[in-house]
Amino acid sequence: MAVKIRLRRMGAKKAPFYRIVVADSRYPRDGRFIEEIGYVDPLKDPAEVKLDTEKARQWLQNGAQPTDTVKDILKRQGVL
Amino acid sequence: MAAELLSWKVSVLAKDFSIALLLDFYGELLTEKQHEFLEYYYNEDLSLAEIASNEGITRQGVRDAIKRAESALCNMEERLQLAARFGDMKAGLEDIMRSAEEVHEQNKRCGLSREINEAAARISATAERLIHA
Repeated sequence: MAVKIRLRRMGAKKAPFYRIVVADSRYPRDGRFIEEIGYVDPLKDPAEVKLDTEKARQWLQNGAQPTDTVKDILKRQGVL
Repeated sequence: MAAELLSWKVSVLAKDFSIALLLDFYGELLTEKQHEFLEYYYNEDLSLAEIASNEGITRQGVRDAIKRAESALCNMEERLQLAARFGDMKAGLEDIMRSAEEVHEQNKRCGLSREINEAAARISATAERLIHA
């Protein structure tokens, strides 16, 4: 069972907003996730990112796999 | 110990999430497959490889379909400008709501008119409804 760190879209139509969540890769679509560790607001210019870097580090140490998008965010935040 | 919450501004993300916005406006005009792939890619943050393995096709096939769908969306926006107009309208309505709030506050301090209060509340409610329409 792989644990992934990915973005999950929340928010209304025409107002995209993403949570950065830790989720079991078996359930990408049903809304279940283990923990929320931040968010991305792509409507802000530039996009606004909030990340709990301590939790992100913990999850990475425990073997959670970030998606490319999240990897990019983690690099920018100095976690990777 | 409370974890430190850090905030950054980033200019570019690995994926262009303005596509997710265009998808809200024009998604219904795409083919079902195109819509689905963009949905997975931008709203679920699945990778090309994950979509490919779920769908039983090649990664290249998914990539091509997504690229085609993206250029269809951009083409529609270029012609119709619905997303751009919505953005303008939203900013304007937010401005209207702020102004209505100011009227309300001002009235609370010195006017105390019930009619003005009610009118300000109606303006706010209408603007709010239009933003979420």
